[in-house]
Amino acid sequence: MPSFLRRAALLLSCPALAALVSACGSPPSVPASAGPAGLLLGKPTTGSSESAPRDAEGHPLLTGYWKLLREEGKPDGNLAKDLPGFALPYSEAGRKALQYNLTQTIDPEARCLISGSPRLTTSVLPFEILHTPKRLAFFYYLSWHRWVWLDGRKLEADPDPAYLGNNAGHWEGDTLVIESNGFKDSADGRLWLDDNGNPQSSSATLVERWTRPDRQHLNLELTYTDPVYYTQPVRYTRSWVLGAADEQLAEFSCEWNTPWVLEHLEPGPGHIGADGNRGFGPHGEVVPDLPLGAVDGADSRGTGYWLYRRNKPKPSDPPPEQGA
Amino acid sequence: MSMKNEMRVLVTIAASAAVITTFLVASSDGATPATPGADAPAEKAVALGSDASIESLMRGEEHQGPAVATPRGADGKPDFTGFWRPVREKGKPGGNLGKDYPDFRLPYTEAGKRAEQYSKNHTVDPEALCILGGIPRHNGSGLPFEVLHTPQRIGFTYNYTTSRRISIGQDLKPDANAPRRYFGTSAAHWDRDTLVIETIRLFDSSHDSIWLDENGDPTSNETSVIERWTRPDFHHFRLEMTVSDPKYFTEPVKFIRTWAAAPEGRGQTEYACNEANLAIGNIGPGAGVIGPDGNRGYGKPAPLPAQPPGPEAYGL
Repeated sequence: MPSFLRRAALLLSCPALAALVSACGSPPSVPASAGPAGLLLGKPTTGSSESAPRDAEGHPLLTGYWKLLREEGKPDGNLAKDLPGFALPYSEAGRKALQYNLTQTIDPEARCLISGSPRLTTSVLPFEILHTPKRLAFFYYLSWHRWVWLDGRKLEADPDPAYLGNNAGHWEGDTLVIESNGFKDSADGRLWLDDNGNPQSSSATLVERWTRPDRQHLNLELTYTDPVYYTQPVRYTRSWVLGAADEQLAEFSCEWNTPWVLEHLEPGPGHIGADGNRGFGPHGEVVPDLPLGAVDGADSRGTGYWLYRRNKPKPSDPPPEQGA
Repeated sequence: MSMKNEMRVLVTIAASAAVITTFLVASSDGATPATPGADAPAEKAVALGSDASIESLMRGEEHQGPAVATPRGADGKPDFTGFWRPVREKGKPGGNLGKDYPDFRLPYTEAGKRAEQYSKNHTVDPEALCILGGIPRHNGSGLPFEVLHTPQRIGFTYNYTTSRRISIGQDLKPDANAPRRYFGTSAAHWDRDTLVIETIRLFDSSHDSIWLDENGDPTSNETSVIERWTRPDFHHFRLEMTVSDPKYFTEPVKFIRTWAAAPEGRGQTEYACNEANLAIGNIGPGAGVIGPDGNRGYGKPAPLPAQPPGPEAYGL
């Protein structure tokens, strides 16, 4: 193992993370509104709402730092969030592709590969939007960004495949409709539909309908259509709230994609609970520890396998205590 | 991963670097194709990696015809939004922050000379590991970048699907207590039509995976960077940058560069750096040979052998 990885593994051991990693000590006693949850999640707003900012043409501007308004009882990182039993309508090929992801594929995000769309939209982590008249970008927590053209172009029929797809948006009233196609395919072993390891095919199309009904809120209605792996379109809705004026997306360098990671991580997302969550901790934590997968104590340098907490061992976990 | 696959990845990295540098170095022909105006029909976006696309991606083409006025944002300030490709300077290296110095040699202190020896002989190019390139390195790069500019926030997006985002405000100052980062901690304000970005709290080449520029020059934890960005007309984006590092350099390093607007409708495309990050154990330290032209030497065009060599040629 390279020395810097050995060093990082040591630094990620119990003493450094004692307050964060359950295996190292007592369960955290902080309320859900404090700690990582308070930093990462949005809170419902109170008081009167302000109107949404608009551009010169009168369209809402989506620029902002957006924090998830988490739905109680609904899983994150799961595109089946709004479906009965959190069950996606797999085709036969989809069931095989799921098994492949569960048993053969190391979480692409754990390798610091670009996490893909719509996976990043299902994440519990905040994101930032910069919106200009002809170009918009989503900036995600792990440093990837997704480009959207707003210059009136139509999607190409057969674009080069990409993790984040090829994206073009248009306005329908005050709704920004972003259509995407040209995704990579889970069969390549480097793209998952969501955190739970569901498959995504290169034939998939995505339609996102984004609205900003007032200054504080951003809403999404998403339809994922994938005739290869699913028998019917999947619908998914979500809302985010604007972060405080002094909150913004910080630098994060996902920099631990090495042969060592490939050799040490097991395939699949690990156990998915009955609540549809891959899980962030044994005590019902709904967000990951912060700093996210830190390396060498720096808050901006991280591993990609931050999702591996209690439901799946991390390579940097300390060995189990004798007699435990 | 099999050795064959590792070889393929390694060769891919080397080949990409070679192609990119070839275009950086081969800048003296002066031939400048006609450039469509801002109202030209949208081109199909071309992904980096396609040989045919790389030259047009790398080459900042001069606008032909009368200058077009600087676009302005809702705040009346110049709008820097656009896809910017570097304009090459004849006889000047790309990726070298010392491009305007005699012999392209930066003014090192004694500690700087030691740090240079260390970074060039003992550290792997951070960008080859898909680690964020940081500032000021990205401003010295030969690769294009795209800017999204709103009145309160500006985003610079770089070729490896990485970015930095900076808040703009007259009273903003970078946080002197912020954690160190590859892009440091920045704040921007306007000086009339010039956007001034101040950056501090950067990593140090002697401890961290950061280089000052493509050539493996070092940067220290005392480095501060002041970027003065202007858009004198629609088609040009200009930087005057001062890098002050009293630990490694005897005087502030000045760096001036201009980028040209890409034809409307072209923009950055996805680049998955980490896909090719599986052979990092095989990448040696340093930037390789720096030629007398100040350029990193890996792009020297040389005839390919009639038969590709086997793994033995790579010492694996």
